[in-house]
Amino acid sequence: MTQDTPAKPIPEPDEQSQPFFDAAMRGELLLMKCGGCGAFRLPARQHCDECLSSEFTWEAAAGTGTVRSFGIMHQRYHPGFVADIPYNVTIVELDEGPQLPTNIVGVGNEEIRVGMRVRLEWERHSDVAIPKFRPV
Amino acid sequence: MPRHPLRGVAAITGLGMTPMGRVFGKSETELAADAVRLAIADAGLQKLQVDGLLVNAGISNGIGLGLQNYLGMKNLRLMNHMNGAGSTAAQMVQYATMAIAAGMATHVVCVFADAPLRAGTSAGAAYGGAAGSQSRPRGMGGLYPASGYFGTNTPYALAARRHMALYGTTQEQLGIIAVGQRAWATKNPLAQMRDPITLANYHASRWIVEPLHLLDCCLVSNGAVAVIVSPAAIARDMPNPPVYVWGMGQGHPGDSRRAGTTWETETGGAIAAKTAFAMAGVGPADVTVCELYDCYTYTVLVTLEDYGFCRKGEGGPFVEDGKLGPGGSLPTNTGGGELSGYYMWGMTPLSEAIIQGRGAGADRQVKNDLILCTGNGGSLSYHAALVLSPHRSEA
Repeated sequence: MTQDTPAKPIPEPDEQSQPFFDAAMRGELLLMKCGGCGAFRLPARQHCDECLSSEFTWEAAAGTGTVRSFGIMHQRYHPGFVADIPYNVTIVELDEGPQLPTNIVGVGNEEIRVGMRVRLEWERHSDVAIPKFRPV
Repeated sequence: MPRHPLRGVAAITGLGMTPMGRVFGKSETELAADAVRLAIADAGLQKLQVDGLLVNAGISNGIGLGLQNYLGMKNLRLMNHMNGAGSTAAQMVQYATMAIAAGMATHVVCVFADAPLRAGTSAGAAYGGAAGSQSRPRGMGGLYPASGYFGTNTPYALAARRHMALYGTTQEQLGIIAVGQRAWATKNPLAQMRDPITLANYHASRWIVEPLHLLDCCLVSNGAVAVIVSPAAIARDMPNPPVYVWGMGQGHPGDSRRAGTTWETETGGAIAAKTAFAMAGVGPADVTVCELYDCYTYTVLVTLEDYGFCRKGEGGPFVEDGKLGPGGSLPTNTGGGELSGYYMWGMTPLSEAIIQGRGAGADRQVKNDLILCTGNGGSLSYHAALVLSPHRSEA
C-alpha cells in the first residue's frame, strides 16, 4: 500500500455490535438470535423486527451462504475505493437467513452469479474484521 | 359492485411548474413559492381561497412547515410536511382528496421543491451518498460503506440484476425503455434531454453500477411543482379541464434483509394496484396511458408487472416491442419521465398525468380516458398510486 492510497471506511463497533466484531477478530461469525421468536437480527439491534422482543442470544453461524444479488461499481463515490473500480458490491444471504453487504473475493467480477454458493473469510484490520466471501 | 364513496369526489384543478434542471439562483422556498403562485393562477383562485397546504421537500430538504408563512397562507385548515420519498406526490393528492371528502378543506395545494444541484457540480455528487461517509462508520451498518456500497444506484442495480437472474430480463429490454422515453421527451418542451437516442447510444453510455448504464438512471433537477386539489363539484367551473381522482392506493412492503424478502422484484405497487384499481372500478386493461415513477428503467419494468399489465417476470418481453414509446399500444411516461424529462420525484409522473388528462399534451397527447400515475421511493420501498381521468366518475 502506498501512503497516497486513501483509507476505506472501516466500521467502528458500537455497544450493540461489539460482540459481533469481537468474535470476528477471533474468526467467528456470531448472529443475534431473537429470544422471542428465533429470528436473526441483522444488523445487531435492540428489538426484533418480527416480534419486537428485546431478548436475544449470540449464536454461531456456519459462515456459508448464497449470492442474493450483486452489482459492479463503476461510479466514484469514495476515494478509498477508486483504485478498486470496477469492484463488486454483493448481498450474501447466509444459510441462517440474514443478508449481509459484502464483496466476493477470489474470482473476477464476470464470474459472479446470483445463487452462487460462497463461504465467509475475514478481512482483518487493526481492531475489527470485515466479512468477505469466496465462492465455494 | 357499489361505487366507491371517494371515487371522483376530488379533482386536480391547478398545476404550477417552475423551470427545471440546472436552474440556479433560487432557494427551494423561492422555487416552491413560484410553483404555488403559478398553480393558484392556473386554478383561477385567489391565494386566500387555498385552505390546505401539503409540503414535500426533496433530497436537499429545503422546505418545510415554514413555507406557510413565507407564502402568507392565513386560512389553512389542513397542513403537513409529508415524506414518503418518491411516493409523496401521489400521497399528497390522496390525503388532499380524503380531507376534501371529509369536509376538512376545499382547495389543497401540494408542493414539492428540490435544489440539490450546485453550479459546477455533477448530478452524481448531488446524490452521491459517500460524502457523508465517515472513516469509522458506527456499528454493523458500517458494513455497507466498508463494502463500497454507496448511493441509491446500488440497490436498484442489485434489484435489476436479481430480476435478470430470476427471469432472464436483458440489458436490451431495459434499453428499450430508455430509448422509448427519450423519444417521448423529444416532444416535450419541458424536458431536459430532447436529443433522440438509439439502443447503440444506450449500450455505449457509461456504466454506473452494472447492470445500470448512465441511460438507465434518472436525471437530477432543481425546481418545484405544485398542484391544487379541489372538490369535483366545483372543479368543472374552474378554468382548466379537471383531472378527476378515480382511485388511490399505497403499498409499503419493507425489506427484512433476510431470507424471504422480495423487495427487489415484487414492489408495493402490487398492493397499491389492488386498492387503487378496486376504488376506481377498473383494471389494467382499461388504462390508456401510464405515468410511472422511473428513477431507473428497471423501476418501470417491475411496476408494469406489479400492476398486472403482464405477469411477474414477463416485464422484459412485454416492453420489448416498444409499446411504451410513441405510437405504441401502452404509452408510458409520455413527457420523457424522470429518465429524460425532469426529476421532480413523484411530481414528474403526476405533472405529466395532469397535462395528459387536460388534453394539453400537444404533439405527445395520447388517449387519456384512464391514466395510471405511480410514485415509488426508497429502494423500491414506498409506493403510491393514483388512477386519474378527465371524465367525472359516473354517479
